[in-house]
Amino acid sequence: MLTPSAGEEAALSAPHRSIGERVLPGLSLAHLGRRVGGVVGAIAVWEIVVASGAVPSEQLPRIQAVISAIVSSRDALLNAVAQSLGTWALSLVIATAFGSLAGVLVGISAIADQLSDFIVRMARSLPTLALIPVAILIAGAGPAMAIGLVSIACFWPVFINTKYGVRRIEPGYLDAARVAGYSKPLVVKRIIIPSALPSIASGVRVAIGLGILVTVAVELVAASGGLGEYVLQAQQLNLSARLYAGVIVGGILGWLLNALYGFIDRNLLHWARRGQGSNAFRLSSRQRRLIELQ
Amino acid sequence: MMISTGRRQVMRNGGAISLKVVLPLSGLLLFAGAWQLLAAVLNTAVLPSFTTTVSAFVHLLARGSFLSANLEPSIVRVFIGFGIAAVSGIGIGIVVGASRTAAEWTGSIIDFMRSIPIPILVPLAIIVFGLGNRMIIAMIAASVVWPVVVNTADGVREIEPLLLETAQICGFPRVRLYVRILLPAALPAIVASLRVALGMSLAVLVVAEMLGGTSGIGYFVVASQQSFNVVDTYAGVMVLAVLGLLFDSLFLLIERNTLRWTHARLGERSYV
Repeated sequence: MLTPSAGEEAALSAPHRSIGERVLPGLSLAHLGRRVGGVVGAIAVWEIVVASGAVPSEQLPRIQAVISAIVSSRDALLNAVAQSLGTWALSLVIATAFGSLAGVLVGISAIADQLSDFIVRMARSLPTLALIPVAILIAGAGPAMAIGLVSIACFWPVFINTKYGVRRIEPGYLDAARVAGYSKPLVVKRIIIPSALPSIASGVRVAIGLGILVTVAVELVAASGGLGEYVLQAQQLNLSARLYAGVIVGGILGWLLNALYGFIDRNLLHWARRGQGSNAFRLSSRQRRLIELQ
Repeated sequence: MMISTGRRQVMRNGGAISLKVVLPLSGLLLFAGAWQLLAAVLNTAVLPSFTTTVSAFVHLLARGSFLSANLEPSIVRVFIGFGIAAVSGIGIGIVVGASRTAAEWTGSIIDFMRSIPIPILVPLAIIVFGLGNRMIIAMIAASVVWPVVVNTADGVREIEPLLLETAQICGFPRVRLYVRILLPAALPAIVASLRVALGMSLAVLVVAEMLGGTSGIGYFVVASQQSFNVVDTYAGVMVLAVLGLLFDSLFLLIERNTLRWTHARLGERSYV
């Protein structure tokens, strides 16, 4: 996965599932209470630490100050979030299109797979974030550079997952197609793409988290607008309440994106999970996790 | 995993050796050739040729000041940060995985912390820790601890109930249960997450050094870019790529020699 190397990089953002969700599928009132209680407890600890004076307020402002910073600079924050989301969404679309296409092509051919293996391993261990200065040299510090770099970062998890998905196809299906006299394009359309779709989905899932992360990193290093530059400015002006406001909004944004994926996963991709229960996709949850991590 | 499978096939079938070595190598050559060609065709200042970059890379590694001022601090930071994250992540993960109450109380906080896009924390870390070593190590530790926590907790939760019941019947005290049963059972999941965490460490290192370092490879790359030293920028990125590959290979080597038994359970076939 990822590293921000695509491996790592993909690695950089392991797919999210709520920890609580996995413990208890149902949502009881007591369960909800304890989850909210954890948040209240954390806020209380924050307040106590600030009030005790153990940490100077320039380093850890009071919660009220952070909330009022969010309220007072909401227009700037919304603009920054919108800009970051724009870069993220466009890059994700580009990466999904190219990644799944290349993944299917390379997955079909054993020779292409071997040829690309070394480059893929190399690219995966190279943190994409290290390419930011190179990208600035080539394309300047504008939006084109940001979109290009985020697309490249998100390409790898989609590509690698698609490739694995194609290579894991039950050989029996391919044999059956051959016996039935399917032409090669028909095999791709009827067997390879449908079987690879769940893998593509888990690649996209990794790319969602990775994408927002690389977007913010580019904005920070290149000061090219968006949430990253907002936080960078707050730091340079020593406005710690605004800085914490940006970080908290970033956390909420990341959480919402994962929740969105969870929603799509449950409602639109349920057939893929059914597929995973069938012979073609009988993987242990550990294997599936490993694949997602790739 | 693919490598170990590959090796076994090679042993079984001598004819496959040439194919397994030659194809990836020609992949690399293809990549180098395409780069060289592109640089020659574009003939631009911002894309040095592959050979120029490689020779700058070699010069960089031969330069004592680069090794002591940039390479060494970076490697030390990764290992300290990763070490802190691994130890605390496994500890927290076992507790959260074993206790439903602990998972519920901490679930929201852990989910939120994992949702924060990591690089955005660097300015915050600079405000708290200032520029330099402490900030970078804290960034690495605080970022890569989460995948370890979550995977350890998952591994503990998926434990065979029979193992737990047997231990309880045998009257294992709690500490012994954790160390002798839960930790080994979760080990494959932990190792998988550590590999991810090590790759992440390098990425976090780079961003932290770019934004708030006074030494290190990330700092070197961004300083080269800002002084328009194009060749050194590329060479620095190449150092990072090789470092990433080395870390990953080192990890696989250790994993393969210490955790042989997990491979059988992971089912190599699915990767072929």
